[in-house]
Amino acid sequence: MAVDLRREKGVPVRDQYDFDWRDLARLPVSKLDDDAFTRVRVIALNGIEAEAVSFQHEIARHLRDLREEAAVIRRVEHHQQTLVNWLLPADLSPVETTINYEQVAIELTAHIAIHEPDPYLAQVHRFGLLEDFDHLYRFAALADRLYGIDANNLLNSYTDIRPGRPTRAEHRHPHDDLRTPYDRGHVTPLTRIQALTLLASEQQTRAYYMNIGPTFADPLARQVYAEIASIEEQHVTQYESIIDPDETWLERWLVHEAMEVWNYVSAAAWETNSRIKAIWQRFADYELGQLQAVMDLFQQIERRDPFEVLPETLPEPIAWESHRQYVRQVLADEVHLRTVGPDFVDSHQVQETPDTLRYRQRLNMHGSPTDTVAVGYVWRPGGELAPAPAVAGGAK
Amino acid sequence: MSPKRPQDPGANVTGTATAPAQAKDMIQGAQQGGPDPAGGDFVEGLAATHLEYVRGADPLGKVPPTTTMKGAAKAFIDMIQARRTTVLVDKMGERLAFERTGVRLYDLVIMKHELHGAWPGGPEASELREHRREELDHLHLLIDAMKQVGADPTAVTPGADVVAVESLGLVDVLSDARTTLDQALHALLVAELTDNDGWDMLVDLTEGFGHAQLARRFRDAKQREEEHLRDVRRWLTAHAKAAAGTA
Repeated sequence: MAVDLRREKGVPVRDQYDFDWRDLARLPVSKLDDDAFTRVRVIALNGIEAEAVSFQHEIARHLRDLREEAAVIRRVEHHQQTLVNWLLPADLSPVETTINYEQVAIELTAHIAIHEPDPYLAQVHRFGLLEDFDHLYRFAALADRLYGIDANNLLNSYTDIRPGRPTRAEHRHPHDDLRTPYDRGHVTPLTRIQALTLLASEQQTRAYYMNIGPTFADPLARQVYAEIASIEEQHVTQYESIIDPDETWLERWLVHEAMEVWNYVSAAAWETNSRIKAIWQRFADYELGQLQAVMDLFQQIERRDPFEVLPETLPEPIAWESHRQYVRQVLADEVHLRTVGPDFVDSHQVQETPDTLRYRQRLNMHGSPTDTVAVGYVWRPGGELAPAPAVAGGAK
Repeated sequence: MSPKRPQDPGANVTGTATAPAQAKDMIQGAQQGGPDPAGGDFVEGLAATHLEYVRGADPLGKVPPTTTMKGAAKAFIDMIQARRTTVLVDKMGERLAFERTGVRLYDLVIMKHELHGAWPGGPEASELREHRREELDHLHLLIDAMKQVGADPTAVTPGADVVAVESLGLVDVLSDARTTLDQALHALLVAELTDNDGWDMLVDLTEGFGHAQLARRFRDAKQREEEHLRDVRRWLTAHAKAAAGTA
């Protein structure tokens, strides 16, 4: 399964200008018949492409010599993102899509935390995981109580719906959201690729909530989206802060392209819908071609071997499966953790910073909307209006 | 507590009459610009685009298989008799989803009633609560009924998916803090109208499948829903007359 980056050249970028509107706006996946993880992968890969596009725009804004190359690759990334994101169906409402967004955050972060070789960064990932885990519970309550929608219709019983670190307690002063970055001289390629993957995921979640939040009519729903979007902004702050800011632009671009290959290869490895799997395979080849182009630039401009930055073979694919037991263990062990600056502390022993306490108290001065929406909420099959199940349901 | 009434005259800038000079410019600009491309037919182009997607398109989804041996046996007998149990399951799932959302719609109406109050001839809190309780009863009835025919009441059938999409606009009207009780009741009217037709069809189908006892229970539910519809119409009529001063 391992992809050899020295040998796999993919599709040359010049051959990637092969889209048309019908190709870009394809038939979507099914909300009812496709597996939750098919939607989850669509969402995750949309995030990967959104990050690729915005990163390459930054290149254009900062590096005169790379503007043309970035524009050429970026246009393909844009069209890849279009094709991917347009796979979501129209009968998946914004609140339902939100449920799958949080499922992405939970299952992807769990996989990454498990595989992260740096213990401090694994802790960073687990910390974020418990916060997104709580968001799923809050949004599930919103979907059930406002629309009569059972979130598990979207989750397909892969991911628990229960409180995590309470969202009301997640609000922190920006100083307490910044972590210690890895050192570009000593970091493993896996750490780099994983950090960028999570950053992409959180950034698109923030962008999505910021776009759809005002489309809700209900004032409580609008507040819930405002509150959780604020945490997603904190998560973007956290995840970008673990990346060494001294990486060169081309180093970063190399990691971006390798990260994209890894994500498409992982998606293709786990995809159950053959029509969608073909897309992941096609785009894995496109990303390999883009990686080749950036490797060439790296050699020309930095006069270094790209494999000083890249792994020769890609890491094992992301396991797109339920991480229920792992998440439950992290919840049991670490829900009480908080941060003081870049450090994680036991809230039973160490108080949070005055800045954070003030910040949180101000935002929550009229209460926390995510508390209001979830008060007394316990998920059950069919939603809380259904009769209580006689016995605890089985798990996939 | 009562907000300004939406029927009151005030600033509303959506029409051309509020800015006649600019409207004239708008017309002139559009006429000077003309169409691009000129000629052709929009509906033809739309149909051609749809055709590309209709070919090879899967439906929204399919009805999940029965979950019990008993259900499978019934489905087998139905199949021998050339009846498709899945149609009945789909329609039950549709009503189930609608009743579940219906409870939530009544939650919102009850809240608006508490916040805004009603008008002479408008709903009493007790009436709204009674409707809400009956919607919940119907939800539970449908959960039972689906289990009886061996179907999974927690699944979203294609019909349920369609009504969920339809209901999004109703929730938007009812949950907007700026809408009034009469506007909320208008959204509820849409729900009750379609719910009545839905129950009619379900009663017919259930009888057709020979589930006499279930059909009887569905007929009772339909009677309650008829009363809901009558009540909502009555409240809305009373409001229109009171608001217009013709009561």
